[in-house]
Amino acid sequence: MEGRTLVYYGVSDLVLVFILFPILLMVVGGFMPETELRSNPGERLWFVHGPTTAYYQYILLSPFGFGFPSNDPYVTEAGFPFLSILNVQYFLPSLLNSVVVAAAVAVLNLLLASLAAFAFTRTNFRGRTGLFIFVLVSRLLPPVVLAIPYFILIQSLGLLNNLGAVILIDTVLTLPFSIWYLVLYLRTIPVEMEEASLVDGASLMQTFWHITLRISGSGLLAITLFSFLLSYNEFLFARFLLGRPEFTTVPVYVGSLATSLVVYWAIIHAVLALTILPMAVLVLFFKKYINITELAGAIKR
Amino acid sequence: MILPASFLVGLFTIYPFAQAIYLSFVKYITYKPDEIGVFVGFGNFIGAIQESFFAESVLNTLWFTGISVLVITLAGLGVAMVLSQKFKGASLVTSIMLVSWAIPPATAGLMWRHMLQSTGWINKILVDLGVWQSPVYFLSMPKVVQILFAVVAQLWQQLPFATLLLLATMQLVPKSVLDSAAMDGAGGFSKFKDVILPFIRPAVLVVAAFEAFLALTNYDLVFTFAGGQFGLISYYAFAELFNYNNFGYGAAMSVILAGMSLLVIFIILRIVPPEKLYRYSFTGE
Repeated sequence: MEGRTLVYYGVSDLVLVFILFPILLMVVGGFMPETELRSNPGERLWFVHGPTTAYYQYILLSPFGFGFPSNDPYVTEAGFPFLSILNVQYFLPSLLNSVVVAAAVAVLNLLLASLAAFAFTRTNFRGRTGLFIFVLVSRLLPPVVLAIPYFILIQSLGLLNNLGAVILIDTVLTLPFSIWYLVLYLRTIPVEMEEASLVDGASLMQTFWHITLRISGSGLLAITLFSFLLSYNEFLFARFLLGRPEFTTVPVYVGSLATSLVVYWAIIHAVLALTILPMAVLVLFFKKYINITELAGAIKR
Repeated sequence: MILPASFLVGLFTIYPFAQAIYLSFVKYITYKPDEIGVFVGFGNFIGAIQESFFAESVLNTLWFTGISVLVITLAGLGVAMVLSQKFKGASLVTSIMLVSWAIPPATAGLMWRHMLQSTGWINKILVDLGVWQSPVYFLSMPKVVQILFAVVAQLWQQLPFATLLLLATMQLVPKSVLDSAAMDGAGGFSKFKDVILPFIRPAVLVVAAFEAFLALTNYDLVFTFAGGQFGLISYYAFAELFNYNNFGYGAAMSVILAGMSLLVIFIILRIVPPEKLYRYSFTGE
């Protein structure tokens, strides 16, 4: 069996390297002087000059009014002629916006999806099947289709540049999945406790609050995390709903870096590293609470 | 009580979609306000199709989708197979893998764009280590090839998701089935082919359909990866909207895209009867 085990280790190591190495590169690259990042391969200029924290410092401090912290020409390639175009000082605010939006969406998802899932699984009402199919189908629409009418709607309501609009559309985008997941999850929980509480005279709402929510903790956590993730990463709607560069979310900011006329790779590395790390921490932290096997089992059925 | 939730979803999904369809039949150019609302039948569709970049974007999209579905599904299957074996660290790898899925696709796209630059990491590392003599200019290659690189980026991002889904499904194969297969003398490969594969087929199809959907409608990743050099349909629908202020064309394009994605998904999922998806999740069979 030795050979087989080696293969397993080999493949999994390969996968790990594939996944993690780029991230590592981003983090490390943020410490390398720009000149080195731009040098032609083969010149072997790695860290010849020594690492610098100037880029990270700049990103983190510029919202507070600090200029670029280094005059070393090696670090500031040719003096950074158009640095201000990158608007690095807007990165931290965009981070804040992203977190606010994502948190709001997560909370909304939590509330609405749990109510909806509860209704779908525990109660019986006319049109239940149809509505559920509808919820599922709405997942299948490409976001782009919704983009244009939504834009018109928001524009006519005067809500452009309003985080609320983004929160709303992100919630609409993430709710179908949350509802679906919770429905599947709740199905695996026996109804006895809720039935007992109803028999004891509690109303539906009371039953929901005290029993259902307590039991479905793991599922609720999963959709909270998932909807947070999804709306944090949301790009399409955030991009056109938030027009001003000083008021965007993280992915949109990254997008502006991608299309800007000026390219400073060191700063891009540092920015990307800073966008990756929070999510990485989040995911790793919550992983142990989420049981994927349940989810897959539910999907299989 | 639940009405608010479903109502909200319904309202904000159906209404914009309906309006998108309406828009695609109507003229709507913002710098010609007096012509807004004029019904043009299929004019928008025809006009949108005739835009020079439309045909190319369709091809790009289809190419991207096809390759990425294949690559990601197969890779996910392979990695899931490996990770389902019981060896030390298997679950750890699974957890750590998730990181790449959690970051914004926009970030992943930009990241990979840099990696492939002539002064980017891939070239840097390989040349400095002496593996290659001179840098390979990935990003100067024809667009068809560049889309393949975009698939790599997409794979990097989606692999954990596909793998996890397939892995979890694999772990649900009842032990009894595996045991009886082993007793019947099935070796490693045959065991996989005849026992596990049929069992996870629905999951594989779900993954394939999902990846197809993500690839067809992809906007974030391709946008930051290509920076506008090439685009998928989503991108052009969008550009049509904002750069040319022609909402009608943009709506038409997005409706076409919606139709395509629904079609693809239904084709892939045909093999699993669609009723299973909602009926079983519902009545508890």
